[in-house]
Amino acid sequence: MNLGFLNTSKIDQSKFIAVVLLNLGALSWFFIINFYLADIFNILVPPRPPDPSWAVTIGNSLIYGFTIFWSVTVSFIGGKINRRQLLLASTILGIFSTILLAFAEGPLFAAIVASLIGTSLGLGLPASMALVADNTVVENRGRASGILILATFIIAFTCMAICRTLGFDTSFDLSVMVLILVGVRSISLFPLVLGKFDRSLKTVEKKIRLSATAYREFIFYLIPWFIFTIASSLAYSLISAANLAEGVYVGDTLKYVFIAVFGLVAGFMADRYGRKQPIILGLAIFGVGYLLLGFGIGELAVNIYSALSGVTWGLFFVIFLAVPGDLSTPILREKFYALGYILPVTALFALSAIQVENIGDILPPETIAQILGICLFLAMYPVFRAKETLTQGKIRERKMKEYVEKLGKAIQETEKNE
Amino acid sequence: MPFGKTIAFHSYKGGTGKTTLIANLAALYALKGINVCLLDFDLYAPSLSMYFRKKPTTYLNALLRGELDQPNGKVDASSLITDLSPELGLKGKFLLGFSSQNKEDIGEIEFQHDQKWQLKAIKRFQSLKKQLFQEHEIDYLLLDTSPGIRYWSINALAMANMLFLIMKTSDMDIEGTKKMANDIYDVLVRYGKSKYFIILNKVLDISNSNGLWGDLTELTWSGELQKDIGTEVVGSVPCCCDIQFSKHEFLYAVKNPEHTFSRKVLELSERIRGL
Repeated sequence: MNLGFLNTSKIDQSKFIAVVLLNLGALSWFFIINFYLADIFNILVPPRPPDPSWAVTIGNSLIYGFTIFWSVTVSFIGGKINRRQLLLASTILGIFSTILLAFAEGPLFAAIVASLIGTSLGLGLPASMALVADNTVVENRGRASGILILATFIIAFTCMAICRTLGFDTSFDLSVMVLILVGVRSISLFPLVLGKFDRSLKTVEKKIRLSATAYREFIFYLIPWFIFTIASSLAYSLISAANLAEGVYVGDTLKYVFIAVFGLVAGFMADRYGRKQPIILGLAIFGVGYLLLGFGIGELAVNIYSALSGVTWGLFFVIFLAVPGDLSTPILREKFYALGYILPVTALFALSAIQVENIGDILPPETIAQILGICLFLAMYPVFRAKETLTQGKIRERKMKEYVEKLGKAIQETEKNE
Repeated sequence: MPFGKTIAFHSYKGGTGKTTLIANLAALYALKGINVCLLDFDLYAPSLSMYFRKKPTTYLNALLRGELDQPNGKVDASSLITDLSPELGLKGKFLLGFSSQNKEDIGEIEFQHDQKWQLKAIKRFQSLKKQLFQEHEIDYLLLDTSPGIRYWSINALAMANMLFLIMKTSDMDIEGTKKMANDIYDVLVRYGKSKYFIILNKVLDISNSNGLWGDLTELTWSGELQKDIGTEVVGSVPCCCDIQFSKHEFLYAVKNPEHTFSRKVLELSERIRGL
């Protein structure tokens, strides 16, 4: 991966790699757990009628609940805690809780492990994400976030592919799963042990008050993110209710590939054209996918929807990793990431996991899909109102730098020919 | 390059005294019998025609637009270039090319951001440059550029062999110059331009600064600056109120050779020749 773009703004490449490793260890671990959560909990607490999925629902709620609770709490009291120790504690707790999965049995033990997993995520994610912003500048934050999301999903997707190859779809092997998860979570240990950075807020800056405008702009950006979250979780419920699990494998696979690829694309778009265009594009693409579901929830529609949602997820994961960093000062970054990134993403997974029971009885699924499709298009309005965080001046500066390169080459060639 | 040198004078901000310095430098070279051509590449705010009080019929803008193109690939520079040496009594050629102060012409340059157009215009300039060196036997081609980072300041810098950054000693100028050095100059040097240099202009007399400069001497200050920006300071021209506030400064270094300003510009001209 060419990280040369970081040099243009004097960003330390080794620090950046450390931050990517720290984040991808936590995020890929989270995505893999999320993907196999039902399988894991069905082993820890064997399904019992009349509600065979009760343990999975409770396990989900505990993981996501604790993630939200600790991320918000830590972001508010974070100033008093040593970040390095916090990140180390979060990573070790993640490894420890994963190992416990191999020994957990029964509802109580499962609940404790789920709470520890959530605590590990909540403790570490705000500071880890804030480090992405601390180690980048507005001109390259999009690309840096894109690389992070690409790397995260490559790791997550590779692990999922390994699991599929090992036949986890038919016979889930918890001990192998634990080994994979421990390996992934341990990635975060490298930068912490090697001591590549420390997010000491004392050295970052003295307290600077953010203007009310920055908070308002942040809310403009958050509205579409939340609407997307709700629409996405409802889509998950609608699709689950249609029982197409086996037939939508292609779409599901494409979804992960597209998240990784379009995450990187979003990063380049964000640094070239600004943060707003990828959000609008993402909403439009997702809206189209949703409208397609509105015509009938069949295999083809669901596969296309999944692929399109992957594009939007890729765009959104990256843009919403960059925007809180653009709008916040270092001292407030963890709050912005806790409320603007971790909360919506975790809430989405929690909502998807809980699933709205009998949603189809309230309104026909097609009608719900069409209404939400329109809501997604309307969600573009706040984005149009929001201030572009990559200013015209920065875009112009970048164009000039590119022009100088182009000109330098052109003149060099002409002079050689003479 | 088989010919003479193309030298561009540039600055981060306006008001650094680029035009005064480059006009005096060019005239001093011509006085010594060196053939020079001075072109006004400050296309956004041209000032050389006012400085020399000339109203030419053809401007550099016409060259860039392609109006002077000839079928053989050359450009017709006869109406564009004026030789002032007979009028000023200079030994060498003192060719001048002006750019238009007309609002429409400036507007066209200001809003013409099409890069293909820019590259075509540069080729036309390269053709003129070749003619100036080959047919007019020019030793030095001096380009007075627009301040800051704009298309035509970058274009002019890219067409030169030697780049000089004119700066005053204010913090704002230093910071801006540092940024420009990183963003523009380093890239151009990478593509084969010779190293760029700094010329300090309108420098306050440190010995008479009422403690504003603390314990610094001009030498240590220049050293710090060289370290900070990463290139050599090749000249330092003092701030002279009689020149700064004169109604129309005109080739002061030629007319008053004993003046401090003139001596410093002469020193600078020799230093540049030695680079």
